[in-house]
Amino acid sequence: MTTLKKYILKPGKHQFAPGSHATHHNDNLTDAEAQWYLERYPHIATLFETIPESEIESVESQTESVKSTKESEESSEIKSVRPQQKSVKSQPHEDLPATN
Amino acid sequence: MSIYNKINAGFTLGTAEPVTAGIEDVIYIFNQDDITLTFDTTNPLIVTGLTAVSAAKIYKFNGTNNSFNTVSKLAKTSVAPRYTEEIDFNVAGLSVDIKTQLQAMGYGRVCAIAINNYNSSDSAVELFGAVNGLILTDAERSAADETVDGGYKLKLTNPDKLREPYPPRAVSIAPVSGTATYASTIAAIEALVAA
Repeated sequence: MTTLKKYILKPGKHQFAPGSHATHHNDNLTDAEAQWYLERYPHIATLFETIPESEIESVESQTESVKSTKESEESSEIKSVRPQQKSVKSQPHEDLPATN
Repeated sequence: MSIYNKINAGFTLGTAEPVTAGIEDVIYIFNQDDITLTFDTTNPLIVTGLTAVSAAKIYKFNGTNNSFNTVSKLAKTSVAPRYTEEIDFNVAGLSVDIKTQLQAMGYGRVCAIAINNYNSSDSAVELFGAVNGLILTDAERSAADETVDGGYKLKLTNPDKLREPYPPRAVSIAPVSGTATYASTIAAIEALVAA
């Protein structure tokens, strides 16, 4: 059954959202669920060993094509699906009040 | 169901790899909601992967002279053992940039990775605040304090009323092929560190 799946996660139990319980693994993730999560959490693309080509294209289209300097260290497969969005949380202090 | 309340191994002293104290003079800190964790399938004490949300980064705080420390302490409760965590470190500076980061750590939750001086263990690299995060609870600067030469003495601990349900997690990240080693784990963390 597992071999027929199109979306194969890397080994381990994964968090899809930071801070969540690590519940996602190959035995409990269906292709439909994987597709659903990938649409909403594009960063999880790197957690998959294999993703159908059509999904790779759609993930790429959702993200900017900003090249990462660390990209060269990754496999070509991961490279093609890695989301390249700029972080919106790189400066978490921006929202803090100026007077405190 | 796994047997969670039965020990199944002992400990034997040896001379091959004697334990040593302390952690290295570096702390990796990241915002809790910036990185997703992957855990070992059978052992929740082992973190086997760190994945950045978007292009989020890990930030590296350097120190010197073995001045950083980590503390994990069991806190007995009526329902289960819990663990309090503390990261003591310092920053040799007082710039606005540093103050901004310290202020942010007082509001938001972060996780911290420390590297033990004792690298022979499979728990050489430890992650703190994996479930509930850590916040900055002490940021003290006494301008005339010669022990840190006027720098900031800092402490990250669990947020109020929250403790960790597990001891510090071991970070053990494998390379593209092969098994995880100390070197592959450090390389994986460094790959996420902000330039």
